[in-house]
Amino acid sequence: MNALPARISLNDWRQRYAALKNSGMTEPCYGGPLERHFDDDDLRLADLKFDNSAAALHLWNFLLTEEDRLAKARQSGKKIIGTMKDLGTVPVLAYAIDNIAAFYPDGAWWIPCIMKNSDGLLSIADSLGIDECFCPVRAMLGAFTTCAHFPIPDSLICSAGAVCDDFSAIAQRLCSLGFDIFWWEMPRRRSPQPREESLSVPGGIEVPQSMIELLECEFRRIATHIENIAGRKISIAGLEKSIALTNYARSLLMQLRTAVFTAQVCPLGALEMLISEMLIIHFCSDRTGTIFVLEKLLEEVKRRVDAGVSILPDGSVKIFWVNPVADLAAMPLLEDLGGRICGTDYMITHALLPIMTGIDPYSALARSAAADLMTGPTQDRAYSICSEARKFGSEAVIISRIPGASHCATETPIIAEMVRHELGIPVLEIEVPTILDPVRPSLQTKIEALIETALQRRAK
Amino acid sequence: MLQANRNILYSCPFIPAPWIEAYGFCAERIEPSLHYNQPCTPRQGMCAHARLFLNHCCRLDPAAVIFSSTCDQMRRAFDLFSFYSKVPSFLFNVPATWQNLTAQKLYRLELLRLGRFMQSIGGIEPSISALAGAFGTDNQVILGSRTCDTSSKLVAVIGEHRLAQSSDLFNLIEQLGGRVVLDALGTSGCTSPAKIEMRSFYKDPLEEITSAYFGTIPSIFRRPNIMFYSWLRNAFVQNRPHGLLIQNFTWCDIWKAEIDVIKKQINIPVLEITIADTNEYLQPSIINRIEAFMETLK
Repeated sequence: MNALPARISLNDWRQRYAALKNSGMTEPCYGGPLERHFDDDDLRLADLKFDNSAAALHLWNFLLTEEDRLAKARQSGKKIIGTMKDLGTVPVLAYAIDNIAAFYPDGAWWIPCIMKNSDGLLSIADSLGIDECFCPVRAMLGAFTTCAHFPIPDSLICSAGAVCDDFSAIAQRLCSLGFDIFWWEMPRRRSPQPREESLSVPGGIEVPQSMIELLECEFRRIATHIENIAGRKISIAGLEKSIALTNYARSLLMQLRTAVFTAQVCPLGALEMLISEMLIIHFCSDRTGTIFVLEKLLEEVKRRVDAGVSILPDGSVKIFWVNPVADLAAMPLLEDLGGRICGTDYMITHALLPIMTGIDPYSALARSAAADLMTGPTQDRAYSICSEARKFGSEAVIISRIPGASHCATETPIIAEMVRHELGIPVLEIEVPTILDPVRPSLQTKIEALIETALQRRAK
Repeated sequence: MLQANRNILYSCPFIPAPWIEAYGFCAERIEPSLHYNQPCTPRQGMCAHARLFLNHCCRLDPAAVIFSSTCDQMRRAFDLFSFYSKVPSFLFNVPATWQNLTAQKLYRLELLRLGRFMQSIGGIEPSISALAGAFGTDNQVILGSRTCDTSSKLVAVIGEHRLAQSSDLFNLIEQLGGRVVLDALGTSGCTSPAKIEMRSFYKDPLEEITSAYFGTIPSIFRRPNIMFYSWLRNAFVQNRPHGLLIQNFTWCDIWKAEIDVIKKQINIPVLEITIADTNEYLQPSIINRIEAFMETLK
């Protein structure tokens, strides 16, 4: 049943779900009405606006049932690995063995938002001395302490080096609480010096060959560790297959982004797009499931683009959004105020790009990790933002600071200045807390001013 | 191009000063001054030390500034500096991990890259004897311990960085009847390299330097940071302080996250003071806290 696309509330989804079921919608095993997640204390859902398609329903249900999936994986005898911080590369290695499930405990940073702080995770972090000076990823510490939000992994693998201080410090605290961590080095990416051998990484950046060789050694070391956990070897064929499947999932996401961001009118909301991007880093513990969800979303978007239908009013201002938001409610807020997301850098751009094939798979993983814009100069990230914003015709850029995050203070002025210089479009810097309600009036005023400014520029 | 000013500024203990000196420069380890505070650098969310270091370097006219990647804040301070300043700058990639060969290799490669950088700004690659001369004379381990007076309240002071105004803290402690038996702020204690063994040095200078600096300095940013706690326990056994004062900076996650762990590891009163990048080092509230802390040591 294809109703006109719209953004609807959780309450509206009751009727919509019944209608879809009556029209013969089939669902995966994790399917069901959305409100059951609210009943399970995912209270923020009541404040959001959702896309009304079956594809979006699958997406939300898939996202919100990850804990069950991990528990099931453990029951079936799989080993669970918590991959931490690198956001996109180590899971590809882990999924090369079929008795491993990998996930990012980092994702716990959204639990306080989704549960509207009823989880108490931030209070637990506070009690351990990890207060609001740290970014909301401190919720992860609470999640490990309570053991209530995901099964405690059989092993933790965490990148160190060119990573944010918040995460590194919190991961180290996990060690002091008795959780063993396998650390690996993520060197800071730099440009090759004159006459220095270099290699290209996904995204087109040149990096010193020595850095790729070092990373390759690290990925082989990680592979040995995973093999020890799994009790099985990672074969080259298995790794190549894992890379191929990952690339397929990434290609679906890239098609989805291009279709949504370049469409004349907006075919899919910012919230669903944000969640889709987040799936790609570890496939929400089920790569096949992720592929199914992305295929369905892409079908829906293509249908809407062909029909020229939109979920937002015509003329919405095209916004490029930098950094993920701690509160999901920021995305519908932008849309309510006349904005539309056309371009994103949620700090995982390297996980969206295809992993190289036709080369040694460990070198391919090394190059994929080296493409992480957060590990290199801010200028590289700013160039990438300018390039993507230009490609998608963004009319303004919002840099959404993450409260307490170690990278935001210094990178924001560089990104803002380069966007203004290169593109000449307005830039707004905001900070989105875990629950934005107390600052909603000021956020709203700022975003309204940005939208007005962009509309005035459009009129000229 | 030869730089008229031969000073190279740095702050990180993992940068070997003799390595800089051997290339013909003067290594100046900056203890940032609060008096060089400037409103132009970002304040909200930026580590006070990183900001003070940045401001301090902007006020001088050095041949170059060396940053290091021991924390995200300093790594990104380099991005800011290189974006806005024309002064040559270099980011030394100090690996956070240390229990694997990759990390040691990376440190060695960074030493060589630093050497090439210094050559690009007029430095001269040293012969092995010149290098040995630099390390043989300059690599003196500064002992963090001070003379112990058993009649005083014995205080240990630890923290990653020393400021130009840090002596005010030591003076205050002494005014309040205390004696600092362990001074491990910045230039000593937990940031000291091992002594260079010249016999090993002549066999493989890079190996020996890597071992003395990268293999030895038990900085808290390392992953895992067990070397730091091992150093702390030993330092306490040797110096037997009655109280521990930790100097931290606003927005420094690396140290802040460990305060609770340090408190649990040792059995004496601990006071954390957080230095902001205001114009006053010891603000009245901090002085009050230190006074109360010294009282508790009676």
